[in-house]
Amino acid sequence: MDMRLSRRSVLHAGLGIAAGAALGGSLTACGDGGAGVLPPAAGRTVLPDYVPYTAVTPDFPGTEQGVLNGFYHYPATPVRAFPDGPPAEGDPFRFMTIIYNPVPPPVSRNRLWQELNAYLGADLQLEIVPSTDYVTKFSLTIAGGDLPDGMLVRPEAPQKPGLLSALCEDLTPYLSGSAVRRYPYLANLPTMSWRNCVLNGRIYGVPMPRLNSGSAMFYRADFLAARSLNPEPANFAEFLQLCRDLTDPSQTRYACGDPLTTFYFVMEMLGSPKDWREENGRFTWYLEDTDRVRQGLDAMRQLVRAGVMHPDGFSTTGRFKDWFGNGQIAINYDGATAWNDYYRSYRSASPDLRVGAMVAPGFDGGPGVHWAGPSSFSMFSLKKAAPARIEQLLRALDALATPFGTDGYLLRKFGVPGHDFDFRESDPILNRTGTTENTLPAMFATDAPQVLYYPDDPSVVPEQYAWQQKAVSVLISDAAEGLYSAADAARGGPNRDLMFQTLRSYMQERNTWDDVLAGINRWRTVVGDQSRVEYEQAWQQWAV
Amino acid sequence: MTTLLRTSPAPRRRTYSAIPGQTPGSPPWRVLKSILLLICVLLVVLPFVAIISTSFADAAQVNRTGGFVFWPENPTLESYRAILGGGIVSQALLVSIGVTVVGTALSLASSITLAYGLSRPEAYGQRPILLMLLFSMLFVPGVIPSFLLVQQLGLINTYWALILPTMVNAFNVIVLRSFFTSLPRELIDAARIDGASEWRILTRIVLPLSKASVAVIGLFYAVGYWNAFFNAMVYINESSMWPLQLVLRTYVVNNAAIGAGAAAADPGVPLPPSQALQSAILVLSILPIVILYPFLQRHMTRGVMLGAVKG
Repeated sequence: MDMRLSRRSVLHAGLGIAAGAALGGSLTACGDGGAGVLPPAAGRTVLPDYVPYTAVTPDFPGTEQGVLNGFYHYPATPVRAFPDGPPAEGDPFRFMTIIYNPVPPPVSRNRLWQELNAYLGADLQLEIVPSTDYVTKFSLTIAGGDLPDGMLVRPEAPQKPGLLSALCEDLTPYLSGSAVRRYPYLANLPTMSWRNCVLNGRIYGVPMPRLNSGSAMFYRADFLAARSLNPEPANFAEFLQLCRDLTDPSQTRYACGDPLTTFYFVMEMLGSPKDWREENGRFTWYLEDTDRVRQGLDAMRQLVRAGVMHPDGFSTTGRFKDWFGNGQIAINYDGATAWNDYYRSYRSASPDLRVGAMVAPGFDGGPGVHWAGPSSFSMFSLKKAAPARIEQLLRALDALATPFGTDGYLLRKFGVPGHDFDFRESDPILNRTGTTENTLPAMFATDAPQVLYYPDDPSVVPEQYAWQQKAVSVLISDAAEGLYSAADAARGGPNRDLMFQTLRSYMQERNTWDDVLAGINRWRTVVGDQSRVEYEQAWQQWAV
Repeated sequence: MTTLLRTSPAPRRRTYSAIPGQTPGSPPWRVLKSILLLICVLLVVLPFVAIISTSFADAAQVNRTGGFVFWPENPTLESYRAILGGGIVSQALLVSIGVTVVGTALSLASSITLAYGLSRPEAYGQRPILLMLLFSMLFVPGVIPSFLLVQQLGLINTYWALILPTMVNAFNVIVLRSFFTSLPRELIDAARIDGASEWRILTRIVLPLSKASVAVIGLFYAVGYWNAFFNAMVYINESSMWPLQLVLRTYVVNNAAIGAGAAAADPGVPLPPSQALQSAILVLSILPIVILYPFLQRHMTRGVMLGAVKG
């Protein structure tokens, strides 16, 4: 047992402390949505080739702009992704990943996990960390120096360039350009999602692709139909009236729950940029556009005064999905993947439940915009290792990215036939065992591009596809996506939360517009101006 | 001859005053006090009732009430079946019980011996060790130094990492030491004159006189081990070794829809709603402490007060 303190351990501890200090509180929610417009000349950098998987034909073809492929049914004969047998071999793969669901049963009691190990050709040892604790665990792991073979690195990780170059493998020789073709399923990941894995012109990880279209404003279609209400308001006034018509306090039913995401929707109506806007190389944060923000906040005050917001909405976090499912609210802004989750979670108790989604209209009519989500949830970086080991790890990740229509996708998402699911024609229908086993967070190492598919009720797919087409037609992306700002990573999250608290108070008429302006100025001083400079510099580097 | 008539004393009027000489107060004031106390009791009891009732409620009622139920209309054990049906919760329960039993035993053994040593003024190095102990109460190491120490001791991903870092609690040792110091010195001197060793004095004289304090400190340790989740999150990499509280945390704090995926898949037997499952886990997690507490409650006040006020 070596108790000496080496320079290396001091370096690791320093990185860990930095990681813990700066990441604090910034991990909040599962992201989805993604892509958008590449920064100028990004295509001339080291990004991997994009080779789309075409072995299965979608019922609803996706588009380059970001509409996902849609499928009514799973192929009756799934494609064998690795006809020559398991792709990897060697020592177990130790991966540290996040989890947003209840922890799945351990490998000894989890057939899905056991079969996945057999499928990969080596044992997958997952160090599962609850989402709320990932910041702490990540910083301690860095500090301890005993890194797993692979670990999830959040976009806001501090000192990321230094941390990655010191501790993680530069994957550029393995994945850049045509080299990625050795891993055909990694080559199937959208180009924009790789952009988040590049720092200093080198590839330091594998993305976890998410759908383009970000979040959606869901509504209870069954409630609207029962009242013959129009689910497509043409402007804010009609939206306000729709909210009034849906609200019935005597039945504990309100239109909206979360004031902050409702504000996002109003800002989409006002054509606001998503987070950062770039214009001639100059970056502006969306809350700096004070005229638009004031208009949006005053609209929120109208909603609050009208009594259409759930009375506990300002003091609650994390209950909005349940409220929507059990009918306490009729409209909820949520990640687009929640569409299937609503049916899975709440239809048994509410058999009439129908879900629809709207795209923001213009505030005074005409089209609004739709905010894109990040094109990759995070990056998955590999510890420095010998080339042979790195290749084995990349083969394992390749297997974890096998797309819809393959045997690998079926195994990862649904499990073992007869144990985790049963076939209804060709569609896998999860049973109770499958429900607990398929929360295995291998999806937070990497994953296949998302698709529109809901085996329990395929009639949902065309509705989702139609909504995606509308959303993508007015999609607007965060100009800073894929760019790195040390200031934003270190101080952005907490100061953003502080700003949001000021906005909430304004919506409730507990402070004044001057307070909001003071908050924006404070944000500029503490983090905003420095972040702007760093993003502009990073953007220029891509533009050169 | 004088006859002394022994008359029975007039029945004394019963008062509600707990303190001699204190007037009971006017009836309206007593009613008001009773109402206030009743409200306080309800504030404590109602959350427990809601949690227990929700754990037994069916999906329809939970959804209809929007989360919490105060009386299950159609009681069902479905939530408990879902949790204990061979999944990770039942395994985590065993881990928690094991860590609590072993940890409490080791903590009591180390704390009692340390406190006894510190209570004997003639013990070698008694004062410096006591100062070190007090120092550890005032200045706690950060998470990263603790992690590095545990890592270099080779305890990462072992159950010992859940016990050793918190095995000796300075506050508990101080309380025990205070109690041991308060015991009559003559008893120990007499035993020593009779030839008893320090170990015999501790086990045959000091501990039998200290049951109340030891029981309370044992309860403190047991509750601490039972409720601990942070060390497991930091030191344990395999989820199969997680204690119940960390598993519970993924259910409650992650706020995930626990039953997602099953409802439509198996409409005949849908999983219970997430609030019912969360409530059932909460009930399971507090049950051992609730069972244990009444047996130790009578020692509680006496044990802590004795140790706390005598130094």
